[in-house]
Amino acid sequence: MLVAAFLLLFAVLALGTPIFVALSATVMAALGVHTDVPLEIVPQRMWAGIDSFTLMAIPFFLLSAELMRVGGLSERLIALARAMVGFLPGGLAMSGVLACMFFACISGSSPATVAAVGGIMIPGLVKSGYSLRFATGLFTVAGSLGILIPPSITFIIYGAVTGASIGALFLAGVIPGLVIGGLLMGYCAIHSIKAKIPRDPMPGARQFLKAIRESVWCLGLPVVILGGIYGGIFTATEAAAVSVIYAFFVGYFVYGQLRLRDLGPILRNTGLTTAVLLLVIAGASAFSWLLASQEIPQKLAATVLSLSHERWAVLLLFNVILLIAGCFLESASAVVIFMPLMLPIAQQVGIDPIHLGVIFVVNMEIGMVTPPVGLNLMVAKMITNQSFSAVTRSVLPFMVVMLIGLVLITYVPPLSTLLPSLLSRQ
Amino acid sequence: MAVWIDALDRTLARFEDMLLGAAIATGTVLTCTQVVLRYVFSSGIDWSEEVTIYAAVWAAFVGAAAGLRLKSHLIVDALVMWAPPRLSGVLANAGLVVTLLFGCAFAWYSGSLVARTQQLGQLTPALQVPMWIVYLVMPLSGVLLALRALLLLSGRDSAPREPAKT
Repeated sequence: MLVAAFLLLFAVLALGTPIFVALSATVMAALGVHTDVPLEIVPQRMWAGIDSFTLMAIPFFLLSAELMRVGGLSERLIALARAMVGFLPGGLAMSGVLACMFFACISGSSPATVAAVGGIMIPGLVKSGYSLRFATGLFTVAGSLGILIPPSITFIIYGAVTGASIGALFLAGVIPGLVIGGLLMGYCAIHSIKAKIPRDPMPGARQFLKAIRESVWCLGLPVVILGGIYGGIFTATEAAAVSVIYAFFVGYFVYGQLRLRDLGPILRNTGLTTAVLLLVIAGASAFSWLLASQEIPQKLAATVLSLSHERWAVLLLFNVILLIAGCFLESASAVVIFMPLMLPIAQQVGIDPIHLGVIFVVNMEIGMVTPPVGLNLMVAKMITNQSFSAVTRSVLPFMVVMLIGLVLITYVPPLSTLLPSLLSRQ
Repeated sequence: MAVWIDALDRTLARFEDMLLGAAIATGTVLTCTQVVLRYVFSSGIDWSEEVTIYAAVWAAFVGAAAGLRLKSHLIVDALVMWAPPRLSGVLANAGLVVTLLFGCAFAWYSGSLVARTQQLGQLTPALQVPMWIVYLVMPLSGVLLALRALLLLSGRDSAPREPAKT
């Protein structure tokens, strides 16, 4: 029955049907044909999958990032990044990576990061002598840091599904985010020295202070979010809602670039993006319920553990599965479908759920830049007007960098677990 | 007939868009008020979480049709993109037929879930509103999704595709 269900799922997906329709229609068909279970279970499981206050952090983080973007955030963060690292070899490309990291501190979404930073910086890099191919690949991949550096929509869904603390997951993403950002910057430096690309002059103190002054309000947002969560002032969801008010205040009163008449469309678009995500989670929840009803998690765990109890081998297996899954699924449905399968095995061999969350997110980052389903590739294709295959080729060298990062993060658990454990000890 | 369909098209679109925006605005205002009340006045609104959740869940289900109209659903478009234009048109229409059928089935079974919940008399935890009223958005969502799939099948295309932001 399961083989038939998966075949049907892929067939319906191939038609270009919305993913949530394909998932829930497959569950209906499988239950209707093979069981006597009343089909009311499908709407019921879909509802239960998204009836969660934790998930409500998603619309709020989307909204605050959008308010900040309209309020002129990207330009300020790019200026700051340029003042900080622009004078180094490969400085412009490095400041692009740094700007993606800053933007990721405000946005929890990878495609949004590619659009916001890449949209402005790709033309700039090309003008300074970088090839279009290098620039496209760099921002398609660096933008994926959006879901690793907190806040992160994928961590929120992971927390909602597994019950792991959102605050701990957010903190766990910080060092891995810096590691991958650092690796990407290193690659930029090597590339530009080889390609003999001129660098920015060293900025004067006044120029530097100006860049900080102009962007300090933007960078206050992550302080409010993380500080609020760790200070025990509010939950992740409340922090997200407060960040909306903060973003509105900064965009409207401080920078004055946000206009009240923009609010309607921004709210509507946020509502639509939220709906799209929640529906995928709802459909995936129904699908995950189908797997659980067939006792797949238990059977899979027994099979895997009969092969090996070694932690490194299980981690390797998880990575391979997630890398392949990431090519075909986007992260929201992947977390809902795969985590109930992987978590019991992880607990058996002693993998920390927080560490597993970070590994999962890094795999999903790679999934976002691999065909056929790669949201970042789609965005990069749109903002650069290149063909899908040209964008895909441009990503390849950076993919190697990401894979190095993945290996480091997988086999050096303290990179992920150090910060959360330091804070929980207090 | 065409005028009538146009009016239906626009009315549905306006209703969906309004609900999407209103749901997000409601949730934001309620959750922030809640934080302020708790820290400044040591009190709170006990139904604020519940309304925030239901507003977003309502937005999600109503957004099913809006996402189809604005082409913002997450989809796997590899095959449709690589196929020759005529075949990809056929595939896309087949996809819409699946969506149409799913919309009808979803409306039917969630409708029967509504009926069963009404018999059980289940209430929401905080507001104590009958749960079946909250569930009503699901059959509505199925009907809206089926209607939108029909409109698209009849050749009414709307916005160009924009990738969603995950």
